[in-house]
Amino acid sequence: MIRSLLRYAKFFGYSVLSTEARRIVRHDITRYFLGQKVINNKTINPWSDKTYSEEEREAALTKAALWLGQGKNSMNDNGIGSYNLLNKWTSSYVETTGYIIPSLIDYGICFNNKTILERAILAADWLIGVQKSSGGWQGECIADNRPEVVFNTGQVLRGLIAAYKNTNDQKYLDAAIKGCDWLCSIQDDEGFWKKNAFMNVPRVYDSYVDHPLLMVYQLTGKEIYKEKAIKNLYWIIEKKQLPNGWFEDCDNTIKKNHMPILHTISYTIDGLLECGILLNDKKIIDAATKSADKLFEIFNKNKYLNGRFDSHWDGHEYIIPTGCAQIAIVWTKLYKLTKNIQYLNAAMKMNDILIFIQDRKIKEDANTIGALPGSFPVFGKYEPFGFPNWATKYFVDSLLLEKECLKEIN
Amino acid sequence: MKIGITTFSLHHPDFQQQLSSLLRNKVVPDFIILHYGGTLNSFSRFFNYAVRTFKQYRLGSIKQILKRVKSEGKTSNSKFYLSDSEKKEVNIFLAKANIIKVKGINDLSTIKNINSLGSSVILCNSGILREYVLKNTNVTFLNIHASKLPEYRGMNNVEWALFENKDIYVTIHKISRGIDEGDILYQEKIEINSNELKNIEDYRKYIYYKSYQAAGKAVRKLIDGEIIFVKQEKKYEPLLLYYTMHPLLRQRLQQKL
Repeated sequence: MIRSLLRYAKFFGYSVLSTEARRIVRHDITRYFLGQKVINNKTINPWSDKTYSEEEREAALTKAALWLGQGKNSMNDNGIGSYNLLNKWTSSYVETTGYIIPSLIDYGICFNNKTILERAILAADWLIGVQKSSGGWQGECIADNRPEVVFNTGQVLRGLIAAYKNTNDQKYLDAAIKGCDWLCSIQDDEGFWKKNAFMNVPRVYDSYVDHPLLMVYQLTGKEIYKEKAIKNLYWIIEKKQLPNGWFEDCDNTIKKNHMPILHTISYTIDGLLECGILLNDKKIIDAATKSADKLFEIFNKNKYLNGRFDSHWDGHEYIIPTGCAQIAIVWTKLYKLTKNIQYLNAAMKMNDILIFIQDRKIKEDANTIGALPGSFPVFGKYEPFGFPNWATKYFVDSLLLEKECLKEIN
Repeated sequence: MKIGITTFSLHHPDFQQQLSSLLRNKVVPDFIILHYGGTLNSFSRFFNYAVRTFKQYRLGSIKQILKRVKSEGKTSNSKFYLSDSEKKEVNIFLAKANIIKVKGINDLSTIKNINSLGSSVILCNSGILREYVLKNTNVTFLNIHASKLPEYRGMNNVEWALFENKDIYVTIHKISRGIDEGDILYQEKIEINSNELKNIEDYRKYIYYKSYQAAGKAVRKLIDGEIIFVKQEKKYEPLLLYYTMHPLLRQRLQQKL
C-alpha cells in the first residue's frame, strides 16, 4: 500500500515536471472525468457517442502500426520495448516481440509496407539469437536476464511461425521446434505447466501457449505437441472454468488472482477458441464462447468493460485497453465462426472506444503518437503511465480483423 | 375487459396510428392514459411536467402550435400515415374520449389510477415500464414489436432483420420483466414491396405503419376470443438480444437496400 502510494506520488510528481507527461495526464483527467455526464441517474461516459468512419479507423491503425514498427528499445537491438512516461523506453520484451511479429507481417501485407515486413523479420532473427540452450525463452525484458518461462516461450513461437510462413526459411521453424520440445518436456502429468511457469504456479492463460504448439504440430506433424496441448486445454475447461464461464487461476499475480485482469482472461478465451477451431473440438469452442458471451453481455449493458472481473463477473478497476482489444478480437473471430453479426457489432463498438483512447487531441512526440496506454486513464493501476507495446499490438490486430470482415460484408 | 391505450402526447403520430387501427377494427378504447416522461429528479420532473402541459393542453401561443403542427406534418410520411378520413375519425374520438391524466407512467400514483380501472388490456406506447409497475397492476400491457419474436429482441430490429435478409414480422406481446420476452398474442408477416422503399427510414416508417395496423386486428381477435397468449419458448440468452447497429454496418445496409 505504502509502496504503491510512493510510486504514484513519484509518477504524479514527475508529471508536474515533464511537459510530455503533464499533457497526457491532464488530457486524460479532462476527458475521463470531466467528460462524464449524469442523465436520469445514469452515467454517460465520454466515449459513449463516439463512432469513427472507415478513414478514421484506417488512420488509427496506421498510426498504431507505425508506432509498433519503429520498434524502439533502450538497447538498440532488433526487439521491441515499451514506453513509460517516467522510465522512458525499456529494453526489448522477448515475449511481446514474439507476438508482435505476426501483427507487423499482417499489416505489412495488408498495406504493402515492405519496411514493416522487414522490421518483423529482423525481430524474428533477434529472437533466434536470444533463445536459451534449453529451447525456451526468458521472461520479461531482455535486460532482466531471467530464466525461461512457459508462457513467454509460447508467444515467441507465434513470431517464429509467422516469420517461417512469410519467408519459408527453415531456421525459424527449427527454433520453434526446439521451443516446443522444451515446452513438452516440462509439462506436468496433470496437463498444466508449473515448472518454469511465471511465479511457478499453474495458470489457465497457458491456453494461449497451446495454440502455437498446435500450429507447430500442423507444420511438423509431431503428435506430442497436439497431445500436450489437448491435455492442457481439458485441464482448463474441466478443472478451472466455473459454470458461469469465469476462470480460476487466471491472473498473472497471486494477490489479485480472485479478480483476474481482462488481459489474461482474454488470453485464455482466445487460446481456447483458436485451439477449438483448429482441433474442430466443439467442447473447447463452447467453453470459450461461454466466457466471451458473458463479457459480450456486460459490454452491451455497460458500454465498456472494467479492467478486472471477479467470480461473479462484477467489474473492478479502470479500463485496460489491452484486454478490450483482445476481447474485441475474440468477438470478431466468433463472428467469423458463427456469422452472428452481433459479435462484430460489439467488436466495432469496442474499437471505437479504443480509437477514442488512442486519439489524444494534444501535441505528442514520436514516443507516444499512435500508442495505447496500459490503463485508461493513463494513471490506472495496470501499467500506470505506461504505453506497453502489447496494448498497441492487439489494437492493430483488432482493427485489421475488423477491416477484413467489413470487406467481406461489402 | 376494458381496453386502453397510453401515450405522452395525443398528437404523437404513433399513438394516432394505433388509435386509428383500434377504431377501424371496431375496438373503442374505454380510456386513454396521458402521461409525461419517466421518473426524474424534482427539478426535471417539474420542468418536464411544465413542458408536457404546455404542449399537450395547448397552452402555447398560436405561433408555437402552428410550428408544432408543421413539424409533425413533416415527420409523418403521407404514404405511410393516416388518411384524412382516418385522422378525422381519430379527432372525433379524442374529443369525447375518457382521458386519464397521470404523472409518469412509472409513478406510484399512476399504479393506483390503473388499478382502479379494473381488468384491462392496455396498448402501451410509453417506453420502458418498471418492474414494480408490472408487478403491482392488475392489467395486461401490450407492446407492438416490429419484428419476429423470439428471434429479434432488443434494438434496431427492423435494421437487423433486413441486414440478415430475414422476413419482417410484427409481434404483439405482453410486456414482462425481460426485454421483449412476454407471451405472444399475435404475429403477422409484413409483405414488403421494395420498389416504393428507398432507404432505411422508408422501411422503418412502412414497417411501423403496418405494425400499428396489425395492433387493432390483434386486440379485436383477443376480444372475440379467437386468439390467446402463447409463452415464448426461448427465454433470456445474450445473443438473442439485438443492440444498436454500428453506423458502419448501417451504412452497409443502406448500400444493400
